[in-house]
Amino acid sequence: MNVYATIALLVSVALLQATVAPAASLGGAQPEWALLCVIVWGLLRGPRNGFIWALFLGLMLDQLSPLPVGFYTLPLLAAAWVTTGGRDVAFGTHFVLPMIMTVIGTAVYSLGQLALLSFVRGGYVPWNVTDLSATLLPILALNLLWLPVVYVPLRALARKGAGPRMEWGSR
Amino acid sequence: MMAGLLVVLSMTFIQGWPGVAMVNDGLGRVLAPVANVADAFGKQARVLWSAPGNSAVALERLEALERENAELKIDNAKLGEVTRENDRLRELLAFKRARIDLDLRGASVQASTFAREPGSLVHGAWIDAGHAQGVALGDPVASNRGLVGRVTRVLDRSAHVQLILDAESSVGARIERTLATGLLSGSPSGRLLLRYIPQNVSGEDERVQVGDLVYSSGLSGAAHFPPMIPIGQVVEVLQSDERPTQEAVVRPFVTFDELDLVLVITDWRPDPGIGEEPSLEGAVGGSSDG
Repeated sequence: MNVYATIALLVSVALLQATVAPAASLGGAQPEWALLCVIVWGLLRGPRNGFIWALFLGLMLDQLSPLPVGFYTLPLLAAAWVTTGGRDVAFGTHFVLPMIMTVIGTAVYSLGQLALLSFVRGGYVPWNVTDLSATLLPILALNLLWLPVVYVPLRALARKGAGPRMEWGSR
Repeated sequence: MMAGLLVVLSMTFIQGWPGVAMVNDGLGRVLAPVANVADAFGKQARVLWSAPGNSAVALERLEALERENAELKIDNAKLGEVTRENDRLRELLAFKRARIDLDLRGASVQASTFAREPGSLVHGAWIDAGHAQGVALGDPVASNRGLVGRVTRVLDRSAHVQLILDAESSVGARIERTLATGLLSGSPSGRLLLRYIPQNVSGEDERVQVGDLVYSSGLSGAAHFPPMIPIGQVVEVLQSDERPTQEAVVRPFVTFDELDLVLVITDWRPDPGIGEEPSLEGAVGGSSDG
């Protein structure tokens, strides 16, 4: 997949995240399609690609939010770093791996955002297990539910362009 | 020829005989329904046989009717949407009439939300009104059902509204029944928590109860909101005698998932004489705020 197609895809994902995802919300949580794309792509095409997607999508989401730049980018990069590290370690390409990484990635991404919200922005974040569970579990469940929808087309895309990986330089 | 003539003549004479009349009558009764059915088939056959042109005309008419039906369905759907929008606008208008004090201070801008915050833990929405429509930073936003939030970022033709559900949002609120004030905070999960409500010792009735209505108090603080805008209803009371204040979970009147049309309250400024937001120290032992 060339750079322009990748940019178009990522812009679309970011816009869908801001406009359509709220309509797909369940139990007060909305699916984190951008996060799922980063996790899945990182697992399919390696940490480098995962980081590039995390950086690009994070900056796009930051642009769509009035919060300071980095509120979405930093947790997304952290999630990419944690999840793509598990590639080729335990389950290879088995579907269990993306599921486990979705759980870990969602936790890292959400806790990162909560930390920024609480300690940097001064927002009211109840740091107790009950409230955190009530906040994170719906997001986690929804992400696991949406994982196949994101995973299958991205896997097809990764297989289609299995030759040269996406590079930012001219090649 | 002759034979045929003889048969007809003989039949003519035979018709007068009573036995033949009975046979004729019986046959008539049996054959009449069969004849009716045959006649119906005949008519249908004549219609079909009469001309292929007729069926073509019928088909054209059918297509025209189907087109008309489709157009009517579209018109009906449009009408339904217009009716719903009209209802929403009427409700907004009713809210504006009910809050004539706000209208006197300046125009309210009607806007529709078109995008949300791209994450589950932050609660905000973009509206299609900005500087060009007179929206300014910090303007309160409401809908016909109640308080929505405040403007936190303004562009030329759009603005971002921080919903009261957001963890960074805090609203001075008052319980309608007891007039006790507190600080309404949002949270990452979108749960509204009314905090720092004084623990009144004078009587059980003064305590927060499930079902109590919560309004904005108009007290100044980090964010300013006009007083007496409905916010929600207490659904759970978190009370402990060990703590100096009470807390209550509030369910908002506004259905934020279905938020569509909102009013931006422009030009509203808090009265300088109104007291400060309730604090933990100030809340202990008293509930009135005037």
